Amino acid sequence: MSLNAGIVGVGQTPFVSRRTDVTYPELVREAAVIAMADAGVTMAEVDAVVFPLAPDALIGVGNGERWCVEALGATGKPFLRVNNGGATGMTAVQAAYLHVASGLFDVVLVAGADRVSESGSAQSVLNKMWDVAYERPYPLNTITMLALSAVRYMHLHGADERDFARVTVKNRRHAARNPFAHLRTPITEDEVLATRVLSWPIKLGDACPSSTGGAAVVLMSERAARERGLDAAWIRGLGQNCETFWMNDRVGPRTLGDHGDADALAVAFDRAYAMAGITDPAAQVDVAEIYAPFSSVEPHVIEAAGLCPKGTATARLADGAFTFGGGTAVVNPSGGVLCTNPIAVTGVVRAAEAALQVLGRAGDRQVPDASVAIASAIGGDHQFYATLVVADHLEGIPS
Amino acid sequence: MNPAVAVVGTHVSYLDDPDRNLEEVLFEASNATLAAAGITMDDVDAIVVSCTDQVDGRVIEGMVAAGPTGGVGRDLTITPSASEHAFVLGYLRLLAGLGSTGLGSTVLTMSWSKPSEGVDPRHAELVMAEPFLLRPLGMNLAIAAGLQASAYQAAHGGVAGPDAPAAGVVAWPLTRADLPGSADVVAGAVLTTEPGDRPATWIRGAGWASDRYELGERDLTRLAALGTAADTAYRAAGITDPAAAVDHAEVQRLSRVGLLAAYRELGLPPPDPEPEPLPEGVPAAGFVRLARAAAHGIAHPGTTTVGAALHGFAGQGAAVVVFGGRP
Repeated sequence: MSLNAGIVGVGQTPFVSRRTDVTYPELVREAAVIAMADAGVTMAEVDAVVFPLAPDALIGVGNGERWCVEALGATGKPFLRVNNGGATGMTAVQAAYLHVASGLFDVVLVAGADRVSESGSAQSVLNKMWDVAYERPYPLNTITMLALSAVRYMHLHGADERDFARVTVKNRRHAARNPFAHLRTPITEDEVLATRVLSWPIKLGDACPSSTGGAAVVLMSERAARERGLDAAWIRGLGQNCETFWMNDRVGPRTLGDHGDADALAVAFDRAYAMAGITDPAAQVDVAEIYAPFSSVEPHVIEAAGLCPKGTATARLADGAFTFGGGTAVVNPSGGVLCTNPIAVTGVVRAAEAALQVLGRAGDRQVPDASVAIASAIGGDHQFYATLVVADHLEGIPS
Repeated sequence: MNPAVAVVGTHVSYLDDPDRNLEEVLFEASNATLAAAGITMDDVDAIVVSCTDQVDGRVIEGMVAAGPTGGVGRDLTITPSASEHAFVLGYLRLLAGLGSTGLGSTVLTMSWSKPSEGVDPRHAELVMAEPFLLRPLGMNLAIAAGLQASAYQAAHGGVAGPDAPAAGVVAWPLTRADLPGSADVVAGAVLTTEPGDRPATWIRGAGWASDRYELGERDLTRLAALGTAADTAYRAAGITDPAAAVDHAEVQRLSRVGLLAAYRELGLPPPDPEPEPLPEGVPAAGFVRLARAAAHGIAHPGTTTVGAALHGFAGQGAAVVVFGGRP
């Protein structure tokens, strides 16, 4: 049996377009210091560090994690980095969980940062994910890739652009409650629909911002948390799954997974739910902090999470579900990735926000009586999927 | 009680045809690793890989690994911080006992470097340097190794190689022959909590650590991260006198002088005769050393074997794994 581990401290800097007052290591440190203070620990008490950093090219330094060792005060400590693209932050939290559950470490820090808007052309960098000879020249980037997914979802499930705009409206309304969110100004459906097209059907109003900021969480063993008298958001389940690298294998009679749906993500959720003992997520989950960088992504992620049947999320959203007072799990009460996307730590933010919810410390964005929260992240070309279940208790999750 | 973890199969191959497609060589190597372990992909629960974007010329280099390593439909994690970290994270996953929760008990770990696909590796090394101070200086791995070697020689005496005058100095006091060469390489290892009756070597202890990034802030006469990692691994393995307890060591060679510094940190006598150098000027070199150490342990039951890996400028980070009999 794995040893129990929980999130006992979180740290986020306010996410913005640009920070000229700090270097990259200083930005990482800023988030780490907040998280450690929140947990009531010092770096001397941290046994190991897991560093989330996605493509090196986005910060312009190869293996930039090594540059941050002193800033974190991690000299001499076990220190490793993961990079599963946009899923990196959540993969890092999972790696930290493995550190604690192994029994070798009691206190593990996950800390990182990104400065996406300061990387020159993030989409040019991300185009280099694809095979140099075959799919890179199309040209694919994360916007065009997910525009293809959106079109496919529309074809499969009868959704339209207004359905997607409705997602943005909900998340902006939520983000207005979150002092750390990057885009906090409420917007209407018509305003979203009137924004310029990036890659049809994705418009500027459907797209996440390029965010700069840092995020960190402190994980602790049950024994250490109890010794310190700390409340924890206990990690009850985790899962990962991987999709094919090739976009060409996502559609057609020999498809490995339809690009319009998120079946591979559903498998990752199933793995986490099996570990947590969740059999009916729509009834058992109170909060979902899910990774959806474009409005068109959120419906199929909601479905993959089992919060409603496949193809029904847009109709449920139109009926007022998945928001405060909607009678369902609240999806992205923080505003989600659509309002804040510092790629390397976006998954850390999802885990942090889920933890704050079950700890009852989410401020104006608190979902009343939240006890069980899920979080997810997606990386690569919609290829790497990571999921997490956290709860305010270690007993069975009520159905 | 955390489960014990064994290595049941390894594979290392150096590639002599730069035109071979990366996916093809990964597919062949993953299959060779599984064959060495006597298992198939159906037996694998999770995969951890390590590779470096800058060396191979692809952003999120590990994405391409999904198919050829069997990652599609499985839990796949990429650890670009060091090749040896793929091995370490695979070990932690099993030690955490996720198998008992239904998430599996066998992990395929892999690492590769294919510098023939990229530009001059020194360009990739240059962008490893932070942009404010080190990069304008032109820092790369050879220069860092030279600084480390000169500090070590100042503290412990000259250790010039026999062919130094002919080889010419690259980064004083190191010659071309003192520095590791480069090659395309791919390696794998299968870790499991359930080896059955397969030949196996058990992980008796593992440690990993990172030193400061700034070379000027370090004591370059030492490889401090390696010393810390070794202390942790030896303590876990119950080794108090490594010189007496260790039968065989596979130690990554940053340079000819760096190798002596590494043996000193490991508490082992200098190798005699000096081992034949491997092409270790690539990020996968650390993983290769761990795989070779595990392979030696599998082939020589009852022995205690140490694998030592280094990464970053002048060995900023390190990992040490002790292999031996069932705990």
